[in-house]
Amino acid sequence: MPRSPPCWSRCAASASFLPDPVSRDVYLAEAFGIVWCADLPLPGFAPIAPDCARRTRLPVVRVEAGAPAERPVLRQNRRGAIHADGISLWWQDIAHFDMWDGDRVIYTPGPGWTGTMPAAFYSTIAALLLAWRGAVPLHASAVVVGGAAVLIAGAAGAGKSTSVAAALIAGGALVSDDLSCLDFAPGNDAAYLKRGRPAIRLHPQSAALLPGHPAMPAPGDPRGKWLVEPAFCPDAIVRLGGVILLGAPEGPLAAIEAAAHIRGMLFRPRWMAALPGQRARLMALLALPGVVRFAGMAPLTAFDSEGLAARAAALAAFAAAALAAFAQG
Amino acid sequence: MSGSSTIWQRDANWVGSHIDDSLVMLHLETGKYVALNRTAAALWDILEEPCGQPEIEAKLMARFAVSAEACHAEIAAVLEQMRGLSLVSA
Repeated sequence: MPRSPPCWSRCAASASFLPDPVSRDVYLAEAFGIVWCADLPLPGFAPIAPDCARRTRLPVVRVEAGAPAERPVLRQNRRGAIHADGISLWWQDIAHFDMWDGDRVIYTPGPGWTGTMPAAFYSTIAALLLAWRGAVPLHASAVVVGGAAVLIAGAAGAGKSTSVAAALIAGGALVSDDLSCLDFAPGNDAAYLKRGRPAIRLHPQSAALLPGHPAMPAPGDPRGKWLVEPAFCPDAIVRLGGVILLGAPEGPLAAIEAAAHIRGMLFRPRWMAALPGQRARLMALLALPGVVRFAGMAPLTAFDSEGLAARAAALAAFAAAALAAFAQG
Repeated sequence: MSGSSTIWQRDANWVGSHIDDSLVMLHLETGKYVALNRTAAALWDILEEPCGQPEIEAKLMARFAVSAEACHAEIAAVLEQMRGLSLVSA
C-alpha cells in the first residue's frame, strides 16, 4: 500500500493550527482529515489528545457557541443559505449553524436543543464544510480490506453499511460510514479517503455479527439501527484502491458506465449543486475511473452469515486486484 | 443548417475527463453523460475557444492524417451530432 500523504487543502484555512497550550475547556476530535476544536464534546468523532493533534499536522476547525450572524445571502437553499464566506442553516428547531470560510462553525442552540450536538452536525454540516474546503463529500462507506481502501457507494438501502460490516467481520477496518470524504492529489492522479466517524450504523442483525465491539441503539434512528464501533482505520488519510457501486451491473465497470452513477454519489446533492466548486467536484469524480478500479455488485439486503461471507470474499478479491494494479504502477 | 461562417461554441454546462481513448462527459444540471471518441474529443478540445468549421478542420488536419474532403464531411457530421446532444451550439 502506498504511503499516505501529508494532508493538503485548497483552503486558506489550512494555515490554522492548534494553540499551545490548549485550553482545558476545549474538546478535540479528529474526523475527515480535520482536527475539530470545540467548546463542547463531539462524541460522533474520534477524540484526540492535543499532542497527537499537533503531530497529525491536520488543519483545525473551530466549533463554538454564538449568535447567528447577519450575512448577505448569495443563494437561498431549501434549508439554509449560501453566503460569500460560508453557509448558514437551521437544523429543525434544534440548532442554527453558521459555517465560516471552511474553518469555523458557530452553533446557536434552539428550542429543541438537548445539550449535545445533533446528528446533523456530524453529517450535513461536516459535509458542507468539507466541500467548502475543496474535498468531495460522498454518500458512501469505506473499509480497508487486505491493505486496500475500498469505497462502497449505492442508493439508500442498497447495503453500503452491511457490505462494510461483512468486510469488518472478515478482519477489515472501518474508514467511514455513510459520509466519506474524498480528496485528490494535485493533478487528480491519485485519490485519497479521509478517515471519518469511528462508528457505523447497522441493522441489529448485522450488529450482532460484530461481537466484542461497543454497540448501542443509534439515538433517534428511524430504522432502529445500532451504532457499533468496530476496528478503525489507523491512518487519518488512506489512498483509495477502488470503488464498488451497489446496484450497478456486476463486474468491472468502464468509465462511461461509472459516469452514470457519479452525480448520485455526492452527499446532500442539492446542497452540493448550490455550493461553489460543483464543477471541480464533478470533474474530479469523472476522472476517478481513470485513477482507480470501479466494479458493480448486487445490493446486499440480507443478513445471513453466508451472504455476508460471500460479500466479504468479493470485496477481498476486488481489493487484491486494486493492490495488484498499484503494484504494476 | 450551418455555413462556413458559423461560429461553434461549447455548452458550458458540461464537464469532461479524458480516460483511455475517450472523453467522458457529464452535464452539470441534468446528469446526462456521454463518451466522445478520439475525433469528437479533439473537436471538443479545439472548441475551448469558439471558432468556425474551417478553423476546426485546419487544426484537425494538422493533427490527423486525413484529406480535406473527408475531414470536411466528417466534421460537419460530428458537429451536427454534438449539437443534437446539446454539447455545442452555433
